[in-house]
Amino acid sequence: MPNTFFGLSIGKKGLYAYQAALNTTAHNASNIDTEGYTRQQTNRTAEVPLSLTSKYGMIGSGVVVSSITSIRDAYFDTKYRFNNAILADNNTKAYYLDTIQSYFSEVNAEGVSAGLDSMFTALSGLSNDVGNTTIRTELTSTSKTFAESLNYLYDSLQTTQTELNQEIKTIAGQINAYAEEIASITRQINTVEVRGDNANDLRDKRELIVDKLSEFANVSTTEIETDYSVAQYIVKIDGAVLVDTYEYFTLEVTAKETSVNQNDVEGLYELKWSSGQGFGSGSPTLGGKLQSLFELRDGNNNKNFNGKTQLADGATEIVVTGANIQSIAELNIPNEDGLLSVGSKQYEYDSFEIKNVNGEYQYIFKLKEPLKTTDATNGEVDIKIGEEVPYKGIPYYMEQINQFARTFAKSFNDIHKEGKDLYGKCEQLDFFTGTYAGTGKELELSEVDQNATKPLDTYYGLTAGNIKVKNALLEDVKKIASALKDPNPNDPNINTDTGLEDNTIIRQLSELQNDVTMFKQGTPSSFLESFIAVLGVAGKEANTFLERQEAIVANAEQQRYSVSGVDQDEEAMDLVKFKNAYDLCSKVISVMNEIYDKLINQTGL
Amino acid sequence: MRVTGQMITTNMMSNINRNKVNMNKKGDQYATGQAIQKPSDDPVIAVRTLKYRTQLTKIEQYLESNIPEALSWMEITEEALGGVSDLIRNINTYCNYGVNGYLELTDRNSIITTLEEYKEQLFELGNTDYAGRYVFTGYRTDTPLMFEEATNGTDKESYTTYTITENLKYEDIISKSYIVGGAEYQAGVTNPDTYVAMAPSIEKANKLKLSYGNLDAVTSVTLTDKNGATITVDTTGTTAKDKDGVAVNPAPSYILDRRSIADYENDPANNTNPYEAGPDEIIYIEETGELILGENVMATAVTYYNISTTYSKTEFEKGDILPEHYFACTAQYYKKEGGNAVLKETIHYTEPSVQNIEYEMNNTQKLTVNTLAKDAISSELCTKIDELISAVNVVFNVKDKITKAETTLKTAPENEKEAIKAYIEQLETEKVLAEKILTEHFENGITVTKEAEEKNNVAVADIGARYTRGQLIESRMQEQETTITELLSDIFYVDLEDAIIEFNSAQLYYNASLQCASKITQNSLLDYLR
Repeated sequence: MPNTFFGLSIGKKGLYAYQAALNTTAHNASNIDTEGYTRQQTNRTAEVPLSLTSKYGMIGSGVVVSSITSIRDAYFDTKYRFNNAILADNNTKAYYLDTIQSYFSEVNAEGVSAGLDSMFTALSGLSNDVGNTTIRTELTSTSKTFAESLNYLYDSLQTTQTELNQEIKTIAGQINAYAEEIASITRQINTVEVRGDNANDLRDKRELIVDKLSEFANVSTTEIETDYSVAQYIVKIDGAVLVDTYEYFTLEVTAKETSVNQNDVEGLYELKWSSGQGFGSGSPTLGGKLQSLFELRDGNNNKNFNGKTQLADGATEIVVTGANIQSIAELNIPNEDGLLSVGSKQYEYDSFEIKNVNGEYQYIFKLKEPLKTTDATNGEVDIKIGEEVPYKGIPYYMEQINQFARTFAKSFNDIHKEGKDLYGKCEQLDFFTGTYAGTGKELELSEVDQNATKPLDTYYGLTAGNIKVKNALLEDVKKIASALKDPNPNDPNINTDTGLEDNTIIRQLSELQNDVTMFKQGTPSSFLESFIAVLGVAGKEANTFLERQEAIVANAEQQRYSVSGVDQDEEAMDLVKFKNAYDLCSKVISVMNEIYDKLINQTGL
Repeated sequence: MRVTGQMITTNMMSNINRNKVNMNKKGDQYATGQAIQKPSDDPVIAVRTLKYRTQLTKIEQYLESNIPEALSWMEITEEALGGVSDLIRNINTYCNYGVNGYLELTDRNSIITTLEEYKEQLFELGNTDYAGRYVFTGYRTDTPLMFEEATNGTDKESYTTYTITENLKYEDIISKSYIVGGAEYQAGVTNPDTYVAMAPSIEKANKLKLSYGNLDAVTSVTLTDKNGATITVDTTGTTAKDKDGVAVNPAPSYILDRRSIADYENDPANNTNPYEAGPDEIIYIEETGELILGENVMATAVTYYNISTTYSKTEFEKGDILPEHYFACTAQYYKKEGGNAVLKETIHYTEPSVQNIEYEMNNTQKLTVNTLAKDAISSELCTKIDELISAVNVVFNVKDKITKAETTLKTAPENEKEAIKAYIEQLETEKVLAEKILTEHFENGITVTKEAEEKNNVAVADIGARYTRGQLIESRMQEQETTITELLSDIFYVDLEDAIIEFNSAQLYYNASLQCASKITQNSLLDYLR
C-alpha cells in the first residue's frame, strides 16, 4: 500500500512536467525565426512505478521529464554544408565573371572589337586618300582608342585581382574568428554537459558557425565521446585541423614578395597555418569561396612556364632549355623577383634574359642566391615557374589579352617599319609600342636573336596594359608610313619617289584585318570573338551551376527545416495540448484534495 | 513529411525571387530591345553579334565611303576623257581642213590662236582634279600633269634638271621633208640668174621626234634588237654589245651630233643644215627635240628597232607634260652657291605604268579608279600642235618676205627689177614648198589625232567597264548590308511584340507568386483557437 498522499504527489509531478513542456513550447515559439535554432522537445516518461508486494502488482507514480533535446539530424547538416560549399564556389565565380564581362562591353559595341573595327575603317579610308592628314589623324585617334581599350581591360583585370586578393584576406580573418568562437563554445558545451545536461542552444550556435564556415571551404566535423563524458570536437578545413576541442589554429596571411606572373598585382597574399603547415590554396578539394577566389586569382588554364636545366653546384645562373613557351607573345613570367622551382627547391631570381639558339629560345635566369646541389645529384632537372592551375582565371585572361596586344602590335609594326612616310623617309618607326615601367619611356622593341636580350627590349615588354601609339606618330601624322620604301634606303642622297598615292603599306596594314594566319584562332577579330566566347561560356557555366546548386541547397535546407524547424501550428497545438494536460493534473490535485478532506476531516467523525 | 512554416516561407521567397529574376531579365530585353546583355547570357549570340557587327562596319565603310568615292573619281575622269575626245576631234577636223586647203592661210594670228587654244584646252583637261587630287597623274595626285608655269633655266639661282629616257620604235621614224636652199635678198643684184641659182628644193630626212624640244643635251641613243643585243651611240662614238652584254668589236662607227636651227639660220655659211645627216650620223636638234638618222643608222634600226634615247632638259614651258608622268626619269635639284650650281637632291621617278590607285570595294575586290595620262592622253598631241605652229610660222615668214620684196620692187631701180622679180619667184616657190610641208604636217596631224583618239577610246571603254563593275559591286554590297542587318537584328534584337508578351507573362507569374505567398502565410491554427 503506497503512501496516503501518493496521489497528490503524482498530480504535482504532472504539473511540473507540463509546465516544463509549456516552457519549451514557449521557447520554441519565441525562437520561431531565430537563425540556426533547432526545435526542442521535452521528453516525458512515466515515473518508475512503485513495486508493491501486493496482488495488483506495481503502481504508477506519475510522469517525469527525462530530458530536453534538440531535434537535429547530423546527416542533413553534412549534406547542407557540402552543397553550400559548392554553391558559394559557383556564386563567387558567377559574380566575378559577370564583373569581368562588364569590362568587356563587347556586346554593346563599345569594347576592343569595336575599337579594332573603327581602326580598320580608318585604315580603309586612308588607303583611298593617303595624303589626307584628316584621315591620318582619324587613324591615330582610333588606334589610340583601341590601345586604350586594351589598357582599360588590363587595369580592370588587375583591379579585379586586387579585389580577389583582398577578399581572400578578409575570409582568412573570418575563419580565424570563427575558429576562436567554436573553441570557446565547445568549452561552454563541455562544462554544461559534463553534468549530464544537454547544451541544446549552445550546440545550435556552434552548428550555425560551422554552417557559415562551409561557405568558405569544405568543412568536416567529428565528435568523439571520451571517457570523462566530455566530447572531443574536431573541425577540419579540407582535411586540415582548424579546431580541436578547446584548441584552434589560425590562418596567417602574408603578402608575397615574389611572383610567378608578369601581370599579377603586387603583394598577392599567401595563406599558412599557424601550426606551420602550408595551406593548400591550389587543392582541388578546398571548395567554397576560397577555392573559387584562388582559382580566379591564380588560374592560368594549366599554362605555367616549365623547362629543363643542367644543375651545377654554386651556379648563380640557370640556363633553361626545352621550355614550353617558345613565343614571346605568350611569355608572362615575372621580369624581376620571380620564384623559380628547381626540382623540389625554390629560388628567387633577379632578372632573366632570352636568346634564340637555332630557333629555340633559351632563358637565362640570374639567381639571387647560388644553387645548392648537395642533396641532389648533378644533372638535368625540371624547372617551373608557378603551378598549373586548371581554371581560367585572371592570369589566363591577362595572358590572352597580352598575346593579342603583342601579336597584333608586332604584325602591324613589321609592316609599318618597311614603309616610307609622307616626307619620303623610311624611319623604321613602330606604330604601336609600350612603355618602360619605371621611366615611362617608349620601348625599343627588337627581335630575340642569338645574343642574350633583356626581355623588356622585346615584345615581352609590351603588354595590354602599356600598349600605345608611338608618340612621334601622334605628334605628326605625316610620319605614318604609307608607301613602299626605297630600294636602297641607305643612300640619303637618292630618293625614289613613287608618288603621294602609293598606299602599298596602308593596304598591307588594312589586309591584316583578314589575316587568318595571325592567330591560331584566325584573324584578329576571330581571336577576340573566341576570347569573348570563352569568357561567355565560363560565365554561363558558372551561372547554370549556380542555379542548379541553389536548387540543391534549397532542397537540403528544406529537409533540415522539415526535421528541425519550428512550426507555429504545431506549437499552437502543443500549447493547447500541454495546457489541457496541466489543467487535468491540476484537477487531479483538487480531486486528491477532496479525498484527503474526506479522509481527514470527515471520515470516522 | 513534416512541413513547417519556415519551409513554406523560404519556399515562397525563393519562388518569388525566381519570378523576379525572370521578370528582370524580360524587363531588360523589353527596355533595351537586346536579346542579351552580356556574353554569358548566350555566348553563341554574343560571338555572332560581334562577327556581324564587324562585317557591318566594313560594309558601311565600303558603301558610304569607298564605293561612292571610287565612282565619283571615275565619273570625273570619264568627263575629262570625253573633253579630250572632243578636243581630238576638233584638232582632227582642223587638220583635215588644212590638208584639203580649206584653211585660209591669210591671218597668221587667227590660226596660231586656234592652235594655242587647243593647247590650252588640253592643259585644262590634263590637269583635271578630284577634290584637289589630279586624276591622271597616277600616285602623284599632288603634282599636275602639265607644268602650270615655265620652269627655271640653268641661269637661275635654283633649277631642276630632268634626265629622261624615252623609248621609241623603228615605226616611230617618219620621213620629214625640209627645204634646202632658198633665195636671200641681196641689194644691188641685177642678174636674175643669181636668184634662180638659189632655188629652194625639198629634201627628205629620217626623223624621230622626242617628246620634248628645247633640250639641254642628248647623252646617248641605244638601239636594241629583239634578242637584247645593243648598239649605244654617244657623242664620242659607238659601243656594241651582244645579247649577253659582251662587247662586239669592231662596233659600227656611228656618232651622235648636236645641231641647232638657230646657228644655221644665223650663219648658214658656216653651219650645216641641221637636217642633213651623214650616213653614220645621228643628229639631235636641240630646239625641236628631233633625231635625224643617217642612212646606215637607218639600215641598222630595221633590226635594232627599239630606240632608247637619254637626254636632259631643264627649261619647261607652261603646258609641257611633267616627265615623271610618262617616263622613268631622274630629277636633280641644283642651287647656286657662290656662282656654282650645287646638287642638292636627286629624285628617281619609277616607271609610272604600275601606279594604279586601287580602292577596296569589298572584302575581296579591289577596283582601279584612276586612268594614267600615258594610257589616255597621247603626248604627241602637244608636240604636234607645236610643230604645226612652227610650220605655219615658216609659211608666213616666207609670205612676209614676199610682201617685203614686193614693196622693194616698187621702189627699186629699174635695173634691179628683173632680178627682184626672179627673187619673188623663188620666194613663191619656197612658199609653195613651205605650204607643202605644212600640208604634210597636217596629214601627219590626222594620223596623230587618229592614234590619240584610239588611245582615248580604249581608255574610255576601260573606265566605262570599271565603272559598271563598281556599280555592280555597289548593288551587291547593298544587298549584303540588308542581309547582315537582318541577321543581326534577328539574333541580337528581340521582337518587340515577343518582348512585351514575355514581359507581361513574367509579371503575371510574379504577381501570382506574391498573391499565393500572402494567402498561404496569412492563417494559422491560432486563428481558429478561441
